Amino acid sequence: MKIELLYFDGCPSWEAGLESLRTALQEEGISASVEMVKVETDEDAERLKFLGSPHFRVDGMDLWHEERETYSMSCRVYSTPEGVKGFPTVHMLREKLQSLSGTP
Amino acid sequence: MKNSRFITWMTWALILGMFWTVFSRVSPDRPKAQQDAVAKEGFTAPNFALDLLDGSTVALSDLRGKVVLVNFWTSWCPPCRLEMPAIEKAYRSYKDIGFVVIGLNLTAQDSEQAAADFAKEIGLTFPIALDRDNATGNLYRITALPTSYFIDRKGVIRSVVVGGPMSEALIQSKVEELLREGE
Repeated sequence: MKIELLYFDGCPSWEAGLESLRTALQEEGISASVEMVKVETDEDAERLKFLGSPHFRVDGMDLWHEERETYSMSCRVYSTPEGVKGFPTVHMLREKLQSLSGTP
Repeated sequence: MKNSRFITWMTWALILGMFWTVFSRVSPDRPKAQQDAVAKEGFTAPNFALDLLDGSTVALSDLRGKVVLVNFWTSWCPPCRLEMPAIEKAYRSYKDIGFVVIGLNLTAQDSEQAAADFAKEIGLTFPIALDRDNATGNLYRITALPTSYFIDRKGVIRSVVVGGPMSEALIQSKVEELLREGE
């Protein structure tokens, strides 16, 4: 399983996003490592179809997919039970990982 | 006799059906959002009323007749910060001819003090609205910062820019196009 976290330094929430992702992987019993992909320019963002930092991708699939006309540097925000946050909760990540692996 | 009643009943049903068809149809001029308010291009911008940094309030519906840029931002978001000078410049250039900017701070993810400090540092003169409970961010289903909505004089969202920073040229072209429509 290839797990990527696309990010750029400017949005501080990617670090909390990485921590949530690592916890979710551990709780799901997934031993794959997280590949960090640094997005540095608008050209990178366009090429990688970057949806904003932090952006989670598993086996090439976006965990929170969104179609956009253009891709540029942005800070991703997630709709969590506690409101809009800069990163998803561990529970949200676990649900996405479960849906990918087909386990309930 | 039975046939006559049936014909009368059918005639009334036909007339009522025609009335229903005429009066329930959607006019092509009518904004789509009047049927279902969502924050997408071609739809009427969902209304919100928020406190401003200066202590006053703003309601989007009160700005009908003006071209409005609603820019969602936080002080910790680098592309948001980078595009603010260009937005301020456009505001100063066009505010006297019907252009309004609302800098919509996602205050629940930021802080009022940080927003105020940043506005002062850059010298922002347009209204900064405070979304203290995420209600407006949720209403617009914001998924990335910055996100900008260009709204025409009729209150319809004409363009959405997700991410940034927007260039001066991009902002100017979008604003000028919408301002021209009202001439």
